[in-house]
Amino acid sequence: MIRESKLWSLHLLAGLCIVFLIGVHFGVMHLDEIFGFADVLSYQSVLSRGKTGFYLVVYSLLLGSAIYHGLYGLRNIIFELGFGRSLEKAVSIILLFGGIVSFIYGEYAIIVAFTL
Amino acid sequence: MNSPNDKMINFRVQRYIADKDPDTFFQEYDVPVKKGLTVLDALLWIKENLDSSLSIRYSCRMGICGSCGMYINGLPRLACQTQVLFLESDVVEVKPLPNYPVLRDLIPDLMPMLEKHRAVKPWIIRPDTMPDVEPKKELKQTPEEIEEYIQFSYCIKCGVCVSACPTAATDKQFLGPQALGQAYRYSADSRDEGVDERSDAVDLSHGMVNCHLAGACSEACPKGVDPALGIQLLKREVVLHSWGLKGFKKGAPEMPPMEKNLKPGIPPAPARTVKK
Repeated sequence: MIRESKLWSLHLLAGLCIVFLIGVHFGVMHLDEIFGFADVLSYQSVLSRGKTGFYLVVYSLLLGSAIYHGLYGLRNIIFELGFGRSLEKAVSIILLFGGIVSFIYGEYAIIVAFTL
Repeated sequence: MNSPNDKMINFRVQRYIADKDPDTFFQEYDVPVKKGLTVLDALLWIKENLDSSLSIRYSCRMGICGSCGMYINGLPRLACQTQVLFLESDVVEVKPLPNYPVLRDLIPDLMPMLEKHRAVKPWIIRPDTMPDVEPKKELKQTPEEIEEYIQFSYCIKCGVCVSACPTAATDKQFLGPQALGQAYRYSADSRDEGVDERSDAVDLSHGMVNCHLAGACSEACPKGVDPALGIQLLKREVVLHSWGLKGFKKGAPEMPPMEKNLKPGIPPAPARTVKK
């Protein structure tokens, strides 16, 4: 069984990743005039960004970090509601399964955009 | 005896007598208050002069035993350390400590806290065992090493920190600031080698990572202990160990006991009155 401190430290690490990657997102989407990105919201721009290796990594990391951070936080909130140990185990399994499915689905979209 | 200089203060005391009424109710008493009178003194005055059925728990009356924790005017405090006039209110509301089952009136059942305290193994863990009576060896500890944990050892197990904790209020399984603070106190002790063993108790769901760092425990502690700090230091220690980034420390070395060098002029201790 994985120690809670490991899960929790990954939760913090995922939070830091999100702060950095959302920073990249804000930089591209909202500071486009400063950095000289042209027409960031057009379909062609979105498509061209998705085709670069850099964004493949950024989107994948952001997807994984956001899913893990969100679901671990949700797990803690549910646990604090005071259910029994057996229900907590079921919640953990459901959230783990939901997280894996969400990640695979999101990653599929990222890879499809990359190979278009 | 009342004097004309006494200030009359209205005490609203929460009562709970399970065998008479399953619900709690408030009872009011007017108490003549002098400068320096504590809430515990006032409650004892009520018990002596107005209502002998009022139940309270107390012992030392000087902030040592940790028996008289109560919820006084919206804050958990020790009744023996809270002066009535310092509350600056004509009405003093006294309730039992929150986050505990109530046994009767102002007496909370502290067993849930004490069981959690025991669960974190609050003692020095070493592979060797030391006899408690007349040990043949001592463990070396420098003043700097004592500084690492000394403030956490001032805990008197009054339970005030747990009643102030918002996480303990919502999550009954949460180990709580008292137990977690004591887990750090022993893990930070240079004589201890039990960090790994103690981690099994604190590194769980409802354990140390569930502390949301509200800091209410540290603010409420009547002994000036900072359990919130202890929990954060414990998190750091356990996380580093769990990822293998820090090795487990070796307990302080054993030393022969200090020689008994009596200063000249001091007579030897009298012979034992109890045989070994």
